[in-house]
Order: sequence, then C-alpha cells, then structure tokens
Amino acid sequence: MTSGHPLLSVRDLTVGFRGRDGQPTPAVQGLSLNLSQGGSLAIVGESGSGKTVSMRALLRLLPGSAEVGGRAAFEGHDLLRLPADRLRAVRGRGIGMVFQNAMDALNPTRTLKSQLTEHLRWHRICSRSEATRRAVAALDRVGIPEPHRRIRMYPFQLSGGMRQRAMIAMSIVAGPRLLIADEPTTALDVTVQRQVLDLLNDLRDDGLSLIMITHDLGVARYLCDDVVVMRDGRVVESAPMAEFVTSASHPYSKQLLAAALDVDTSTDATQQSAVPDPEPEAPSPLMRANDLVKVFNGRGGETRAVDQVSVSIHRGQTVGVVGESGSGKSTLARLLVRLIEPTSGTVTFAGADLLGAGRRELHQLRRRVQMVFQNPHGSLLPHLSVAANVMEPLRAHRVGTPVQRRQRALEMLELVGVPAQRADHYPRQFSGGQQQRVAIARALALEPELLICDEPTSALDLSIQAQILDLLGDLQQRLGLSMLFVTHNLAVAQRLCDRIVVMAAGQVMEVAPAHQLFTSPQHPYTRALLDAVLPVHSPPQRAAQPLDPPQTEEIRR
Amino acid sequence: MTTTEQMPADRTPPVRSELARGWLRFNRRPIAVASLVFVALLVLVALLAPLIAPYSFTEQDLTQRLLPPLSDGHLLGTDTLGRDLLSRMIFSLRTALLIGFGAELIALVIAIAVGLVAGYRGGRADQLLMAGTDVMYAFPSYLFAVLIVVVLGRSVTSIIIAIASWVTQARLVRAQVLKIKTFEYVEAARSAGTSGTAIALRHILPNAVGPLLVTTSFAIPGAILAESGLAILGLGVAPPTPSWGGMIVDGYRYVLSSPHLIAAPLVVFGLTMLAFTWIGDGLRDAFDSSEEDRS
Repeated sequence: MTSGHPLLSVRDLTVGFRGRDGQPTPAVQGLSLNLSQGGSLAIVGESGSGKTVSMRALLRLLPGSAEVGGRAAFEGHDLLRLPADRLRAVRGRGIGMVFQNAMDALNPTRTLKSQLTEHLRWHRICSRSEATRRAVAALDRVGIPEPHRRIRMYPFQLSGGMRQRAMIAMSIVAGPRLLIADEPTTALDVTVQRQVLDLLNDLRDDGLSLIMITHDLGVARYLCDDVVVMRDGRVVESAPMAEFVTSASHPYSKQLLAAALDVDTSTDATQQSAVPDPEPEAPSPLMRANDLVKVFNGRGGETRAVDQVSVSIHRGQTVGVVGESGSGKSTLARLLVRLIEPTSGTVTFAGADLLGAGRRELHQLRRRVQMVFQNPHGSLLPHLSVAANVMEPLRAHRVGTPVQRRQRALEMLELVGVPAQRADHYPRQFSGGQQQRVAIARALALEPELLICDEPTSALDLSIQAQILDLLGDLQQRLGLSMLFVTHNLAVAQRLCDRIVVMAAGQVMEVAPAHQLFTSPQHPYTRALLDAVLPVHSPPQRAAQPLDPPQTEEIRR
Repeated sequence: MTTTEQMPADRTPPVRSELARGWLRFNRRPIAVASLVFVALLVLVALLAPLIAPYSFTEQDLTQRLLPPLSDGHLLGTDTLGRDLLSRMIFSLRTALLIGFGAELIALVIAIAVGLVAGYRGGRADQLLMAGTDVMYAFPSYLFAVLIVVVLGRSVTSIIIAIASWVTQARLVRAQVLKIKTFEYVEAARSAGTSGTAIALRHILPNAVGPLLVTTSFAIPGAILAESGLAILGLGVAPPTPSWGGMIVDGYRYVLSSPHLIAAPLVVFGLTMLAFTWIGDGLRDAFDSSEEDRS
C-alpha cells in the first residue's frame, strides 16, 4: 500500500430502495472503505450482499427509486453531491467500470471503434484521429491481437474472452485512475479468466487502482491487496488480504474461507476414494456409453457437440465430467438419459440397451436413472408445492396411492433437510440452496440407481454449494447411489468424484482416477486447467505458466 | 455450517399458492378491483334481468314514443317504438355479455388446443396447424364474420361463432409453449418418465395461462365491439332481441332530437370496455413473475 491521501474514501454509504409502499428497503448499510493511490481492493460477498449496488451507487448509476446516503470522496470531491456535468466527467475519465457480461454491456449494432472513440470525443479529450490512435493502443494494451483490424469488428464477432478484453479497453481508453470491475470473469471459463485477471494485474503495474467485486475468493486473492467482506448490506470484515486468508476474525469470513474449495495437487492427499477404482474393463458397469456422437445442425453448419465419447460408470462410483463451456459435458449428460437422441453410438444401462429401448421399456429404465439440473429455480414446477413437485415422478410412474405418495415425498424432503412443515410451500418461497435440495429429493423419490447431476451447485452461493456437495456425498454413501457429476469446477470434482473425465471441444482429453488426475495430469489440456485454478488457501503464483490466448480460443470452438 | 440455510419453524412464512399470490397483486390496484366489481355487477344484472326490468323488452306503446329520460314510468325514456329504454338496456346486457364471454370461450378452447399441439408436438403437426392459422390470419376477419352470419343467420349463437377470433391467441399459446418447453422442469419431467400428454397439460399449460388471461380480458370487449360493427351492416343480432349495436344503429337517426337513445348504450358500452381493460392491466401485474417473495 502506498501512502498519501486516499484516492477513494467512502464513509457510511447507505443505499435503500423505495418499494410500492414508499418504504425504503435497505440494500447497503454503512459501507466505509479507503482505497489508496495504486491500491487494489476486493469487495467479496454472496449474491444479495450489496456489493454491486454499493459500487453503482458511487457512480450514481442506480434507478430513481434508490436513496443513497453517506459520503464518497474521489480525489477530494464527493461523488454523491457532484453536479451532473462534473459527475459525467468523473464517470468517463476518472473512474472506469467493467461489467460482468460484456455481451450485454457492449452495443451489438456498433463497431468497437465507434464505441471506443465515442467516449473520448464526448469528453472532448482529443481529436478524431487521435481518438482512433488511442483506441487502437487500448486494444493493443489489453492483448487483442491485430487491433487495427479488430477495431472495425462488431462485439458479436469476438469470443467471450476477447469481448471482455474489449470491454476493459473501453473502460481504460480515457485513462481513468480507478477501475471498478464487477465480476469481470464470472461468465468466463477458467483458462480465459486467468488471462483476463493477468491483464488486470498488468494494468495495475501501469498505476491504475482497482476495485474488484467478486464472489470468488480465489480471484480476490490473486489480484487484490485488501479485502472487504459484505453480507446483507453490511461490512462484516475488512482487512489486508494476506492477513484475511490466514486469520479472518469474523465467523462469516471463516465460513466463507472454509467453503472455498481448493484443488489439492499434493501427492499425499486424496485418499478419500471410497470405492477402489475398478479396471476400465471390469465386468458389467452400471452404465456404459460407447462412441457417443451428437451433431447439431445449426445456422453455422455442423457442430460436433459430443464426438466419440465413451464413459462407463460402475456401481457405487461417482464419475466426474469436467470441462469448460462448450466442451459438450452437459450434452453428454442429456444423451445418457436420452433427453436428446445421439447421432450415433450406444448406451447400455444395467445390461439393457437404452437407445434401442421402446417407449414402455424406456419408461421403466428412466425410473432407475434420475437427473438433477443446474438451475433449481427453473427445474421445479412453480405452480405446485414442493411436496407436489416431489410427488410428480411417482405420479408419472403410478407408484402408490396419493396418500402414500405424499408420505414418500415428506420422507424424501426430510432426507434432504427440508422440514415437513414447509412441504406445502411453493418453490419460490425457498432459497436457491433449498430449492436444489427439493430437486434432489424429487430425483431420489423413485429410488434410482444412478443420479446424473448437471452442474447442480454452480448457480448457488459458495457456502450453499458446500452444503449441497456434503448432502450429495452423504446421500451417495447412505443409499449406495452411483453418480455422474458434470461440473466446470475442478475443486468440486475432486471433492466428490472417484474417477474424472476431462472434456474439451466434445472430445475426451483424459480419463483418470481422481487422485491420479490431480497429482499427475497426463494431458496438456488437463494441466492447463489445473494451472488456471486460483487457490485461496495458498499464495497465488502469478502467471506461472502463461497460456497462449489463440490456442485456448481454438479449443473452445 | 448449515445454520445459514435452515430456518426456525416459527419464522415459517405462510403457504401461498400462485393463485393466491396473483390475487394479492391484483388487489394492489384499486381500479382493477373496482372494475372487477363493476363487471360482476353487470353479470348479476344480466342474470336477473327479468326480475329487475320494469317492462319486457318487446312491450310497445306507440302512444308513448320517444319519451325523454325521467318521464313518468320510464326512467330512461322510450325508443322509437315506445319501448322502455331501461328494460332494453338491462336485457341488452345479456346479449353483450353472452357474445363477449361466449366468443372468447370458443376462441380460448380452439387457441389452446391448436397452440398446445403445435408448440409441443412441433414438426409436421406444427407446420400444418400454423399454416391453417396463417390462412385464417390473412383472411379478413370481418368478411369471415359476415359470411358466417349470412350462412347461419342472425342468432346470438351464430354471431358468437362468427366473431370468435382465436388466431392471435393460438400464436400466443404456441410461443409460450415453445418457451416453456425448454425450461428445466420440463426436462426434469421427461427424464422422470412423465408422458407427453401429462407434460403438456400438467407442466406446460398451467404456466402458460397467465399472458393468455391478460389478452382474454382485452379481447372480450373487442368481441362486443365486433357485434356492433355487424349491427351497422344490418347483420347484428336480429330484432327484437336488444343489443348495444342494434340500439345505437336505431338511435343515431334521432341523435339531435332524442340523444338519450344513443347515449345510454354508449355510456354503458364505454364503461364496460374500460373495466375489462383495467382488469387486464391488473392481471398483467398479477402474473408478472419478476417479483419474488422468498422466505
């Protein structure tokens, strides 16, 4: 931390939103923070903690129903009381903002050039030709190759990582002193995330100060010197980062740190493999898929979403499928339960041919394979109570009388930790984590042998994620379930899985027992994935193994 | 670590179904509630018409023609044939509501059937049904109504059939179904082995009706208006059955001398249209899923 007067000093910031009844609902209560010249600060919190709202309040970007109080001095001027024209000058030239979703934040109908230079010309910083020169320089600075050519492109012509870089270029083009980045890498894959974070790190070396809003402690630790933890609109703890990760004082901070999973790559770890890994050719796996291919015919021509994939799941085993977005892992999960029909290949379940099964046979097989989806809010029927939701599969298979079904539903809800007195509530009355518990109860109601989970925790907050993982692990042991677990998160996979399949571009890169995969990855892509993981509990290694951007972009195609 | 998620039993929020929640939101708009009360009142009057009306709607007294309002024994005066205007207004409410609700009921049944099958089955069925819908859409609906009335006669039933317009709503249902079909709860139902019919009726339809109800409340006054249009062409409900359209057509010739003849149906007509529109606005709020009441 450099000395001198702070660049940004926020005192007792409060934000409330007036509802229909005119009563303000508090969103932020008493946020205070200091950011020194050249410093970097992470605001960490789960969804609804007020971290985004408070930063938007600083730039007065909130809707009219927001009531903002307190003081926020940027270079000595109170942002909350600045006249509109001076505020606009600060917004453009003093403080740059990077949003989470670059696709939404960039205007799809205009080229990068017009969006980058508009900024400079509005604020009358320089002439048109000078503006273009600076825009190209900014694109170059954020690592976009061939900036002269790409500046004439539209946002949708760029990949996700490139788009986020362009967004950053836009926010730095007018030379701000402070950059506020709101979850800039949450929508990105890990390998791309690492590149964008390294870019932000480079910009810090240029003297830019940084406020990073994130829910990911790994990201915060990688980039920031100080941390402010928020919860329910209040500051729970604020401390230097190095101190925070080793000796956080507040119980909530400790809980967050405990819930943050790291990938363990030390050789002596991971002896938790419950079931000894059978030989790949061991007799009769519960489910086996051979040479599965799924080709989607879209406007852009053929896409081989899943390409010659073979997987087998043995009884009592948890198999993880790990990959970045577009790797085909979710498509694979849907192929295995025949939610979509494969182009070619075979799937057998307990010896029966799943793909050749007729309607009635498939109906019977489906009883034994159930699925848990990523978005619990979207996977429950909104017009039915949670008990009725859990009863749905029983109805479909005409199991028992309505009274028995209800009894069974209550048992299942009990099993996943939803109390009986809440059984008649509707899904929207539950939090995301509780909704996912209900979805798991529904999947278990028919006593399946195999549970297929498609990113069941990635829509949830960190602390809830840990609870759901514990629940799944516990249920698996108690019920002797087999599981296929699709995730993009290596740490989650390591925690739960016996065997892991690494996928990229529809193909299997590597299959290995979990402990082996993390200690001695064979495939370069697996190594790249592991390197891109940002640890929370051990000091980050900055740019340990730089990845060549075009190469990873190609893998995503 | 589980403490953040579990809640004590005494803080359990009340159970609230989608319907109950919708009603609560509808209730937030006084004008929507007032409109609902107004329409309920209209329905009540229509049902009890023979008990309330002072005269029959056919009873003529040619010596008492074109009496102004507040005349002795005729609160709203009389028409060109000396019939009591109030009684005719009360009975015409029956015609109007029968046409409005009847036409929309038929339209809804067809629209849901067509939209659901087209959206859920897709492929051939979708192409055929939507081709049919497009043909209907392209055909001038007024001409179609005129043709039906000419063929089937000027009874209330044939007019209901003539002006039942299901095309737009069928497209709306189909669009809703296509959207909901991709939701995870439908995938969840499929992977649980639920049959196609059950998915369409139990999982998709209940979640698609919200916008449909909103358009319905806008379409009902539209149907009543369409009858008036036919009446002007001389193809409205056959006399002596009173209808707003017929009464306006009869009255407009005497606009200068006896403006009450046209004023009475126009005022009630206007209020009814407004009421249905405001109910529609209330319904739109009620089914807006953007607000959550999580525990």
